[in-house]
This record gives sequence, C-alpha cells and structure tokens, in this order.
Amino acid sequence: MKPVVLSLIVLFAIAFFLRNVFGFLKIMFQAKRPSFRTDQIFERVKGLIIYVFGQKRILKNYTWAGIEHFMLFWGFMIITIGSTELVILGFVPGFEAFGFLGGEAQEMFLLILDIVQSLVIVALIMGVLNRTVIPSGKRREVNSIDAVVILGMIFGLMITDFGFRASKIALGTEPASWLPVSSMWATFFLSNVNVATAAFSTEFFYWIHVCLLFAFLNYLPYSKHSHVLTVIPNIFFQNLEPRGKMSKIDFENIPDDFEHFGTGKFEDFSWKDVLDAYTCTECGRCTDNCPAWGTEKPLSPRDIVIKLRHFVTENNDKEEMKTEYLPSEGWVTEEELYACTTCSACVEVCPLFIDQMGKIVEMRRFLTMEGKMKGTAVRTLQKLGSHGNPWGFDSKDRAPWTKEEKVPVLGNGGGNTAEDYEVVFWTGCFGAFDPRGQEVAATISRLLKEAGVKFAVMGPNETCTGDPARRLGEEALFQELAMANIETMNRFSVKKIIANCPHCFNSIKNEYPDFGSEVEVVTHSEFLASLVKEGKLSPVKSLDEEITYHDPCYLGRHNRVFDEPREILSAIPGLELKELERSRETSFCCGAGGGKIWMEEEAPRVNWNRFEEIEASGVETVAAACPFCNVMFEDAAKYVGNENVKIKDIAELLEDSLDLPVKNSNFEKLAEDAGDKEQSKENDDSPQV
Amino acid sequence: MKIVVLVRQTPDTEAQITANSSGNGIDETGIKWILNPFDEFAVEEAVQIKENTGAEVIILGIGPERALETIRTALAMGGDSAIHIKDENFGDTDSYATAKLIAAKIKAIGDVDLILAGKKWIDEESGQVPIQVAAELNIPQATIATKVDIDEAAKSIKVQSEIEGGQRIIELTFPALVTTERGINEPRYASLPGIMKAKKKPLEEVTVDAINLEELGLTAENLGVAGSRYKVDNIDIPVINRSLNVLKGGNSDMVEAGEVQAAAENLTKLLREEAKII
Repeated sequence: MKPVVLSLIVLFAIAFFLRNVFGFLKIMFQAKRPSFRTDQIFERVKGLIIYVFGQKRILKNYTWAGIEHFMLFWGFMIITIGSTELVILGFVPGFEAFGFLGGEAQEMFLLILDIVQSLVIVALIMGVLNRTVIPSGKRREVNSIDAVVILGMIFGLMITDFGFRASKIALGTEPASWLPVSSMWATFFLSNVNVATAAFSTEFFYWIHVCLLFAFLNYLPYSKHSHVLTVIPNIFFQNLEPRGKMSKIDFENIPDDFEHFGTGKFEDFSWKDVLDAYTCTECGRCTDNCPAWGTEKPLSPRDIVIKLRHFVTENNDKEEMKTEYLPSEGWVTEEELYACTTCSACVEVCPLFIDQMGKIVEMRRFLTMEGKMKGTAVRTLQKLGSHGNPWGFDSKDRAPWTKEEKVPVLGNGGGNTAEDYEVVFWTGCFGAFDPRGQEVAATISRLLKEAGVKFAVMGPNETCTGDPARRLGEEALFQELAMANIETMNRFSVKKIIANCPHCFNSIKNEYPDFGSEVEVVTHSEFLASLVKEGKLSPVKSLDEEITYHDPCYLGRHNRVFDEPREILSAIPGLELKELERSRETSFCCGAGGGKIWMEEEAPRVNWNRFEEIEASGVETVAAACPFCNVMFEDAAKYVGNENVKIKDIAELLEDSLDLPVKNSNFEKLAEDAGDKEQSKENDDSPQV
Repeated sequence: MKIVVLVRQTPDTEAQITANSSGNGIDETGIKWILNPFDEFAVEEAVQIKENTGAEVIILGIGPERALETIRTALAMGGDSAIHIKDENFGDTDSYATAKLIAAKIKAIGDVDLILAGKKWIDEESGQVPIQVAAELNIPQATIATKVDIDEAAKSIKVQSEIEGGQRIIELTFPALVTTERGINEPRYASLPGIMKAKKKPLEEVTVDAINLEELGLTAENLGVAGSRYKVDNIDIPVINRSLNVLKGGNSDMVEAGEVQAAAENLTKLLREEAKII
C-alpha cells in the first residue's frame, strides 16, 4: 500500500512541477531580444563553484545574513540527500543513502545530517531575528508573508525529519549514538512509549515530511524563493561581457514592421531578463547600494526586477502581454528610469548575478528614442549632435592648453599622423573645455613629457565618444559619434590611446570594437602607475597629507582598475591613504554617470552624500581619477561650504611630488605666440569631424 | 481639434556668426541649423495638448530645402503631419509677405482651431510673423504665453503671460493664435531614430510656383531680398572682451559683517570708475 500511495504523491508532484517548468519556459521565450550566453564554459563553471557553492557574494558585506544563508544552503544540500533517502525508503524498505559504502559511512552521514539539521534551525532563528529584531535601517518594504511560509516549511521539514529519526531510535532501528540531537528528541518525547506508538509516530512524521517536501518543491516557483531552482542556470548564464558595454542596436537592418527601439514591451526583453526576474529573492542588496535610492529618488533596482515578474503574473496568457508597455505610468515610471547613474553597484552586489542596470538602460533607450526625454539633457544631446561636445563649443577651440604646453596636435601641417608617436592622449570633452578638466589634462601632458613619452593629442579632430548619448538612450547619436571617432582614429593611424576620462575609456575599450575599432586604450591611472614603476617618474617630494581615494564607477566597478591609482598614491612620500568606508567594489557613485551630470537632480543629491562621507573621514584631500567625479565634488563642496577638503586628480598629486623646475613661465609663452598663430590657422583648416 | 504649429529654422545658439562677404547678411558656411528654440516650446505645447485631448498637430514650416530637417524634428517630437513651403529665397522674404503666405496655407487647411508659434525668431529677433498671420486671418491672438489652459467644450483657451508686476490672463475663443515663451514647458528630445521614423509621416511640399500670389495681393517681386520692405545695410559682430573680477563677500553666514559692506563699497567704486555705468 505504502509504495502505491507514495508513487501517486511523487507522480502528482513531479507532473505539477514539470507543468510549472514548462509554463515558465513558455514565458521566458516570449522575451525575444537575443542574448548569447554559452561561450567561455570554463568561466561559467568557475562562477558556479565560487558563487553558488562558495556563496561568495552572499557572505560579502552582509555577515549576519551571509552566515545564515551559508548554513541554510549547505544544510539544504545535505538534507536533500536525507530527504531523497526518505522517499526511496518508501519503495525500498531499509534503504540507506550511503549503505553502499558500508555501515560506517552511513553512520557518519547520519551524524552530519543530525548536526546540519540543527544548524539549519539555528539559521532559521537567525533569519527570523534578521527580519524582526535586528534593525535594518533600510527604506524598503519586504514581502514577509512569503518569507514566513518558506521559513515555516523549512522548519517543518527539519522538525519532521527529527521526529522521524527520533521515532526510529525509539523503535531501535536507527543508531542513537550517531544521532545525538535526534536522541535527545527521543528521550524527551518518546522515552516511555510502546512499540505501536513509536511505529505510528515513524509513519506520521514520514508522511508529513514527504508531503511537505513536495509541497515545498511546488510552492517554490510561485514564491520569491524560486532562486533555489533557478540560481544555477542564472549564474551559469551570467553576463561575462564587460559590464559597461551596452548592446548594439542594428539600425542598418530595420524590419518594415518595426515599432520602436529599446525595451518597451515584454517581448523586447531577453530570456535572461526573465530568468533574472524569476531568480530575484527580493533581498534588496541592490537597492541598499543604489545611489539614486540612497538619496531619496524613486528608483529601486530591486523593484524594477520585481515589477517585471509581477507584469508576467498579471498579464500571462492575456493580450496585454503583447501590447502593454513596461516603461509606463502603471509599471516602471520615467522618473525611475532616468534616475539611474549606471554606477553598477546593484549588479556588483547581487548574489544571484541579476542585471538590474541592463534592464534600466534598455528601457531608457525606449523612452529616449520615443521622444520622452525632457529637461536639460535635451540640450546636451542636441549639442552633442551638432558640435560633438556637450556644451556646443566650437571644436576648433578644443584643448587650448596644448599651445601653452607645446603638445603636438594630430593633423596639424598635414602628414602628421599617430605613427610618429608612441601614444595619443585622449583629452575627452572635459580635458578640452572644462576649466578644471583642462588643468588636469595639462598636468597629465606635463607628466608624459617629463617621463619622455612621445605623444600627441587629437585636438579639434576628437569628439565626444558618445558615452552620455548611449547611456541616456540615444543610441543613434552614440553610433554616429563612435563611427566618426573611429574613422578619425583610422585616418591618423592611431594605435594606442591614453584616456583620463573613465567614461571615454569605457566606450573606446568596451564599445568601440563592436564598430570595428582595434585601437588599444589604457587609463591614465594605469599608464602613470607604470611610468612610476619603471622609474620614469619619481615622486620624491613629501606631501605630508592625509588623503583618501574615491573609486570612479567606470574605472573601478566597470573596468576593475582598483589598484593602479592607489599604487600611484602610495608611491608619493608622506601621503597617508585612508580608505573610505564605501570603497573599491562598493564605492558610492558621485552622481554624474549615465548622463546624469547633464540632468537636473532633486535634493538631496548623490554628490552631496558622497562628499559628506569624504568630509567626515577627516582627510585633507580627496583624490579622484575621473573628470566627472572632480566636477561633482567641486559642486558638492560649494553646496556644503567646504573649506577643508581639497579635490585633486591623482595626476596632480603625482606632479606635486615630482622635483620639477618652475613650469611654463609667462616669458616662454610670449615667445611662442608668433609660431602659434601659424599653427592655429592650420588648425582651422583641418577637417571637422 | 486641429492645431497648426509654425516652425522656423535658425542658426544654432552656439554658432559663431560672421558677416558674409557683402556685409549685409551672415555667412552660412559651417553653420549648424536648429529648430528655433521658441518654436520648440510651441511644438511641445501642441504635443502636450494632443496627448491630453487627442488633437491633430500639423507642423507648418517655411524656408529653403534645409528647413526640412527642422520640420522633421518637429514631427519627431510628436507632430502628425507637416507642410513645407519652400523656396531658396524665403530667408530674405519680409515678415509681411511671409505672414500672407502662411495665412493662405492655414486657410487652405481649413477648420484650424489653434495656431501656436514661438514668441520670436532667435536669428533676426523678430516676432512679427505670427501676429501678422493672426491679423491676416482676422482671429484673436495672445502673445508670450507662459501657461495655457484649453477648454475643449467651450472651444476656448486661457493664456497666461508674465507682465510687469504680475500675470495677465486672456481668454480667447477658437480659432486663435498664441505665441510661446520660455518656461511654458520643457521640450522633449527628438531622437535621431525618431526623426528617421518621422520620414514616414505625411509631408506636403509646396513650391512658390504653386502658390497663386495674385490672390494674396502679392507678386513675385514681393518675395526674396529684392521685394523686402526693409533692407539690411550692414551687419556688425560685436567684439566682446570678458574680464572677471571676484569681490570677496556675499554669503552672510560665511563672512564678517564688515566684509560685506566693504565689498559693496568696492563694487560701487568699480561700477562708477572703471565700468563707468553708474
């Protein structure tokens, strides 16, 4: 009788489970944007080992919840063996999971199972405390009902297994000495029972355990805990492309029935986006680390993912699945989508490798290209289109400091190509036009000269890389600018570039190859660090300052350059580097990225938040390695009335520490003027890009 | 409801203007052309009205071939269809003739409820054409609007404008003409793919030969620079010498009280003795 009933339960549970799986696959493949995730198998398997079995991201920065989850995860892995044993036991009486290795192996397994189950109960208590007693200080809602059901079921599974083993101990069919916790149960509850009661109790707990197990399996897909089932594929199919690389829209082959660009409807997402949505546990780490959310903006990256799942729940099998737009008032608002700075803090912390940022920028693309973008960034994009820089300055006037510093400009005088130089210094629009940016760019040029590097700049031939356009969602403008720059680089045979703007760097390095660029690009942090290492620049003067370093998002998180700027700073005598609480991978955005620097921001602003942290750390100077961060901090410093903290680029600190003669006397400048006039005339004639 | 928006192409606000060789016009080489920023407000307002009421928005542009780009921008912002009255010489046609041509075209469209246009063109600083169009059509007009409120049932529009010391609200019954001022809205971005898509929207191109000028009381001689009722003799580009002098003081929390007074005295002195403006 028992095998028959059990077979029915098992068959029913599996059938129901498969129905869920196929239902999910059907939903997943209604999302049609292609996403290829089957390359680099070795890296993918490595990801599984480190992040699923090693639980690396779960443990990082969230010690309490991390340990709790680690115990639950490994407990579950082992308990699953025990539960499987129990199910088979219903068909094969006397079955032992490790019986084939001999009695001792089975005893050892029972001991481990006994201890692990106790630890899981401890973890469950930690989980309850985490949700009740321990103050989170987080401004986010949690779906507690789901958590209670799931934690309750796990608790039930543990209790019934203990009950089952304790009953067997009472019956004398399980070795008490190898099951210390179960024995205690037996002693406590079943010390004076007769055989019939013990036998009944064995069956009772057995059936409850088995039923709970299959109920759990079939509740999971409907809960926020479905990650138990999806985590392995989700981490295996993680995005291994550079994080700062956005997908290319093919404008050449637009189908006739095309409606819009970017992600507007459900079908515009990729299958991986849907898998992400069903993997999210709503833990909220992304939102905890989001600079927009942290400064009271409406964007919560977690909610973006949850909304995608809720969209399916509400519209599956209905016409709306095909017709309704997700970026709309009912689902994801424009305010949410335009609040993202694309700092990728959310993607960095997600233990399940969900790509929140990717979904945000894809939906933003839809909005912008449908003409929904308003405000100050409209002008910026118009100027990028008409002048190749965000302000609409004349490109003839790019990087005027090159005259003063006597830096050669490619294209001047004809036949002047990059082949005559080791590297080309890409100044970016800040280095070309922004007064602070110009100072930093001029400093870098002096350092390169001092180190004997043969370099030139592109001057009027350089335009914006298109980074702000792409991240604001104007893909066509980005492609126009990218192709113009690549064409210019090819024309001047540019092979290697140094960029001090991490945003330029990111586009050239990660995005330009999609448009045929083969140019090599390094950041000024990396290049200057190597010059220091090779002894070509020797910081000798002591600066005697307490300093901190701010990791720019597009340098650190996006492109993993964490050490080089620190190497430069630690090579400078007298500098004492004090790390901020939020540094390296968990650095807090300055608020400028993703084109946000060109938009008005409601108070409190992201840069205020970060600058307050810098001020509170008590340092005298903050070093940045990005012109955007510099500008944002200068701005925040004005707002808070700061007079204590100096804002410098790492290059400027490096120069301060070199033993250099007085730079650029006015006399020298006057002497050059006559020659410069000739040069600027040629400049005017150079082709405009 | 049917709305017509008048758009004009002007040089980019950042364009470095130089005089042409004859000295009576601007040198157009290398100039980037944009939708007149005040017309941009008019287009945005029309599109917002369309979003709220389902009105039809017709873009009406006048100018040479290149003006088509500007018309497409307006279409990408949300216009439904467009009319381009084109002739290479329209840039030099005076506002009187221009207004007559536009008014005739609007009459031809028929049943237009509302005409929107920017309060002025940024190139010639002229705000004449829209108000002359209203005069030609003999319809009410309100200028320099910072807010409009439409009552569809009553077929009327309330127009708010800034006047010295307060606000003025005028109520007009349709058909009416309103010119827009900065602050009325935040124009949306016309993306490149949007402009590309706008190529599919209906566009009517009218050449000058197809217009019966006689009916309008005009002759071909009234168009272009020769027929203009005003002549530009000479264009001078001002030379601007910028200098910056920062006087300490300002935020009263951060400076001593005496410093502020000293700074004010210093400023007065500089304005009187160096700038010689007080």
